[in-house]
Amino acid sequence: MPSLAELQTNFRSFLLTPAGSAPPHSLPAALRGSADENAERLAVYKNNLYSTLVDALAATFPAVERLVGEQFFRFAAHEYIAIHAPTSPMLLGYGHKFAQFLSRFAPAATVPYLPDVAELEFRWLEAYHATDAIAVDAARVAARLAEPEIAAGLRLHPSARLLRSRHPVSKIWELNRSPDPIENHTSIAAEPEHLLIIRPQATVEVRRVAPGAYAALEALAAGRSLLDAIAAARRTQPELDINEHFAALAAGETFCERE
Amino acid sequence: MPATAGIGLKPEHYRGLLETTPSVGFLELHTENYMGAGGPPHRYLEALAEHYPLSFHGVGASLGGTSPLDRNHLDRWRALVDHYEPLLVSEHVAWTSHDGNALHDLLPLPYTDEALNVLCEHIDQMQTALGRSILIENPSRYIDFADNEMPETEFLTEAARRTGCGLLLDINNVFVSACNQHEDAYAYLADMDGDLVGEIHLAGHSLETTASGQTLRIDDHGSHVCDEVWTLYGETITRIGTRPTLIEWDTNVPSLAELVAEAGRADARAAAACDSPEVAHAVTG
Repeated sequence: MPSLAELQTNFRSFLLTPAGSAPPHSLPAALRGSADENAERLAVYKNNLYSTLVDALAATFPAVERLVGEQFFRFAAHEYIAIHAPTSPMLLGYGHKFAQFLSRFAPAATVPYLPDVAELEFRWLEAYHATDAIAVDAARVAARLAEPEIAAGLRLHPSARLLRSRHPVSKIWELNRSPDPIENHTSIAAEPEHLLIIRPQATVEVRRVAPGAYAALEALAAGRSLLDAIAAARRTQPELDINEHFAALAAGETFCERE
Repeated sequence: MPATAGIGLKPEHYRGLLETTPSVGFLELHTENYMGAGGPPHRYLEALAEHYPLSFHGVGASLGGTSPLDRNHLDRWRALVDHYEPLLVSEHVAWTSHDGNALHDLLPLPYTDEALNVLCEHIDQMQTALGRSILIENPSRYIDFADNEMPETEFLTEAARRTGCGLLLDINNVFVSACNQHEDAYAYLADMDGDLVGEIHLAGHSLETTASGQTLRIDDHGSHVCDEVWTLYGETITRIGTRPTLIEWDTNVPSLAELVAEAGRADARAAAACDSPEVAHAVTG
């Protein structure tokens, strides 16, 4: 009679072995009843596990699923589960390596923007569940910008996430996140994007920002000072009107007081 | 806690619940779904907590697992319980994690002394971490272990007796397991000490015929409560009295109105069961 720990080890290896393969010999031996019938009964647990995980990935990455189709998505999801079996009892964050996985998943190589769409969807989810915080208003941000060398720091709202892509990833994502049909003549200019994903109140917003503003946001996200952020913006995009861009971001509740 | 039936809380019903505040006894949620730091799930839950008692139902603590309980997970549980002060708190008689893997399925335990010791130690640990007693739910079973040393009812009753926890009696699970194992659901329920039961779950399940021709009942929470389970529910209420009762409907989630109507059917069943002669007899004498 195996110990409970041995039984759970065997059961786990059965569950995480891809579907369709035979259970290890020791597991059916631990069960009452016929081996053939028990193999079918054990399959119920494996089906439950895979359908829970595939459904969780599909809920997090609806645009990826729509771009590749349900069948391909299920195939990719099963491959991902085999490499990255979940380690947390929370399903909320499952899929944090899905974009990275897709970037190396040869069957998906014909869709070069797919990993970036996955990255955007995961950051959207992170923004959705992030801590709440009160933003500083545009007038106070303007006052800080007037005297950045003496101003107390600003930080990004805790829900803020950044993403840079060689592809028009947010436009692809917008077209594919709802099940509505896409018109045949829809075309998207193949431009790179700099994105701020943020949830200042109840709704997650995906904003396209100028490269210089993005550099400033990156500096603030890395914990650097407002002065450094302005310098980063100038280096990246000398012609940028920083006050105007910061005012627009501040109006969108992007910044909080540094604690 | 009102004995009026409650419903599972689904994100697609957040707005409808706040706008129409239908009459249901309580809202039950999967605790793990509210372990994010903030955002809309907590905004809605805080607003809904103004109108309804809450019940927190965990699916990931792995009380039956031989690996140590996840301290971070218990800390998140504690923070949520402290913040929302739910009226009911429950987990499962199952293992869901093992040695670093979270398997996200309620996996079965053999009913042995060894498994009972593991389960009781973890119930104690969770109750200590939360500073309150919990309810543990009977599983749906598709397999049976050759080494079982006691029936499930004895296993659950003993766990409750040793740890002071209560039982969450899932009558759909009782029926699903009994059918799958060719056992008697009535005998199971008759064995259950009603004083230990703090909550009842009702749900729908589906039927699957396997390649070899076995019919298995799959606990998928995806449809109406079936007639047999309604009958078992009525008989249970007649025997033990009313309990907070949840309608679980987690896949193919229906409209809020349909879910509320199902909870209404549970209330009607419970009321009819209380009027039955057996209860009158018990009361008078």
